[in-house]
Order: sequence, then structure tokens, then C-alpha cells
Amino acid sequence: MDSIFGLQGGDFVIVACDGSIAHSILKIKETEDKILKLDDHKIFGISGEGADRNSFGELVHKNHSLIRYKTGAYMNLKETAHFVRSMYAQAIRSRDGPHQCNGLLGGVDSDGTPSLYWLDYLGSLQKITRGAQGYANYFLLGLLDNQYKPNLTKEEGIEIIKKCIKELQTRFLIAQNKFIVKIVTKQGIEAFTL
Amino acid sequence: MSGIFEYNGGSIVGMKGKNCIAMACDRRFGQQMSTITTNYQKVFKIQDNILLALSGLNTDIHTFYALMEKEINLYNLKENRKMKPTTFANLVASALYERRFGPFFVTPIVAGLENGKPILATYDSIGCKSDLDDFQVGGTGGNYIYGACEAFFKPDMNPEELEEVIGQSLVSGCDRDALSGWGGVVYVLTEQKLTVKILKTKQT
Repeated sequence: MDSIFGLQGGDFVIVACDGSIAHSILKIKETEDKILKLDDHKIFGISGEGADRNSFGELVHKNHSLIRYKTGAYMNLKETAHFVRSMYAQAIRSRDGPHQCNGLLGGVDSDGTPSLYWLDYLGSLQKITRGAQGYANYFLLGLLDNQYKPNLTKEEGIEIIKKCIKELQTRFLIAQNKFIVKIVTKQGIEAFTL
Repeated sequence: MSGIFEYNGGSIVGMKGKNCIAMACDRRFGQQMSTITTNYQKVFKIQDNILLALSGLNTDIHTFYALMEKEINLYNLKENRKMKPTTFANLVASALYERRFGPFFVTPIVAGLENGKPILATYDSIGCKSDLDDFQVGGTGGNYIYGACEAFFKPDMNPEELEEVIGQSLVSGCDRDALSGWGGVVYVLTEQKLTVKILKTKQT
């Protein structure tokens, strides 16, 4: 039921998520942050059951940091995306089974190039310019395809995200009031609630 | 999961010509009926004279390609020479059979040029190699492409004709298959060069 969606612009990446945690018919929380900060220039929005989301998120974050400490080098976006993919891919044929969560990994490299990657629980990986996970796919892909153009500015990107949120609030059966939006630029990560 | 091979969709085709080979693939990556992206690469250059096309489950395409890259890089480092296409074709078969009881959900096609002679091999997901025919197909649109290939193909075509024929076969096949399409990419390998061309198919 989580909605995670994102957009890559000329020099930034936006990932947005809904803030709700639900148990059956009860909404427990509306302000849950499902977008994990991997480091100052990378964010990973994860959709899935709470436990899987948290545990896989921690696993990715800590292993990502471990590689940095071991090798002394920061991984760029492409390396990180392939690394997260390999964690998913190793799990699918393991004793405990796949990590039951999907994700959108976005960020900006040190040279200023933004990228956004779509990852699913099996270990599928695709570099995308706009996309969504979960039910949001059905509502937002058309809208994102229509509104997207190359080299968007940050303001235009935020406008598109606002339109996406409005669309979900109008048409999606599950009422999602608050959305957490994170933008990565060369300067760092900005977060706000919409 | 009804049809794990049909989950992500995609089609590939390989053809032999006179001292050249061609591979073509569509560009769609989807999740059952939903299309995620339309620029998904399914043909990989393993070595200057070997191409590997993979169709099937996206995650296993990534994993299997990485495995084959690793094998060929280690081979180059250990033996200090390039791998022959026939050797690579055998390697793919044994790598697939190693996972006999937990297979990779991919159907590969290997194409290469060994001393100018074209090599083409296709496999099922557990490594049964078939290298007897002049053209091979794989993926969800495979059966549609077979028909088009059978009609257009003739032996010993030159690179230009081969590019035309394989392109047309791919486009005809993918236009009929719901899970393949959104463009096609054709690779033609001769002794001198590898040319890559992007084609338009029906945009659905």
C-alpha cells in the first residue's frame, strides 16, 4: 500500500513517499519517513511491510558504510545501485527468501550528475528518469510520462510531485494525507512534508 | 507466479550470415502488464568477437551477465589469451547446468565469430545447447519471430542484408507480442566492426 515515486531532473533527484503506516483498517502513523539517507548525496525510498523495510534499510545503510570504511572510497550512484541489487539477488535463492521490499535509489554524484534507479525485491535494476513503486505505478506513471521533460529545474520537479500527490489523493482508494519529499542536489539533501 | 519467464517480458533473436552474425532484442522491461522502462539492454558484448543475448527474468539477466563477465575476465587474466566463441558457448551451457535444481530463469543466445566463421548457440534455462540452426529466438515473442525469420531468412547473407532481415523479423514478432517491443536494437558483428542500430516498433 506504500506509494514511493520519484523523478530525476537536470541536476537533482526527488523521491517522495507517503507517510502512513497501517495495520488492517487502522492507521497507526501518518508521518513515517520511508526514505532512507544512505549518505549526504544518496537516498533510498523503500516500500514494503514495516519490518522488511526497516531491516533491509538498515542492512543496506550499514553495508554501504562498511564498504566506505573498508576501502576508503565513496561508492557513486551506479556502484551503490548494483551493490543493493546484489543484496536483493543473493537473498532470493537463500534460506530466508527474498527481502520483501522494493525501492527507488536516487542521488547525485560528486560531479553533479543525478541518477535514479528502480529496484525490485527480486533484484531487478533499471536506471530511470521517472518512476514509482507499488500501486502508485498505476496512478502516476501516465502523469509522470506526460509532465516530464529533460533537464527539469528543481521548482518544476516539485510542481510535478505536487501534481502526483494530488492525483493520489483524488483517485487512490487508500487515503494518504501526508507525503514526505526528499530532494538531492549537489549541495545535499533537503526534506519536507507536503 | 504464472510464468516466471513471462514476468518481465522481452524477446531476442540471433542470425548467422556470411562471415558475420547479427543479434537483435526489444527494449521493454515490465512487470507483467505494466511497463517500467523502454531502454532495457538485453544484448551484451562479452568480448570483441562474442555477443550474449539474454531474455527472461530481469534479476537473473543481471546476475547471469555478471557471472559470465567474471568468468571471461578471469579466463583472460589466468590464460593471458582471449576466449574462443565455441569455448564461451560451452561455458554458458555448463554455468546454466551448475544450477540444475535452482536455475537461472533466462534463455541465452550466444553469437560470435571464430576465425571469420559464424557461431550461434541457444540454450534452455538448464543449459541444453543447440547450435545447429542458422537463426535462433528467445523470449516471450519468440514464436512470433520464428515465423518472420523462416519467411525472410536465406543462408550466407552479407551484413547489410542480415541487418535488414533480422530487424524486420524482430519488429514483426514484437508488434504481435504484448510483453515485448517499445523499440528494438540490432547488433551486427563482422571481423572489422560491431554496428548498433535502434529501430522503432509499434509503441505499445
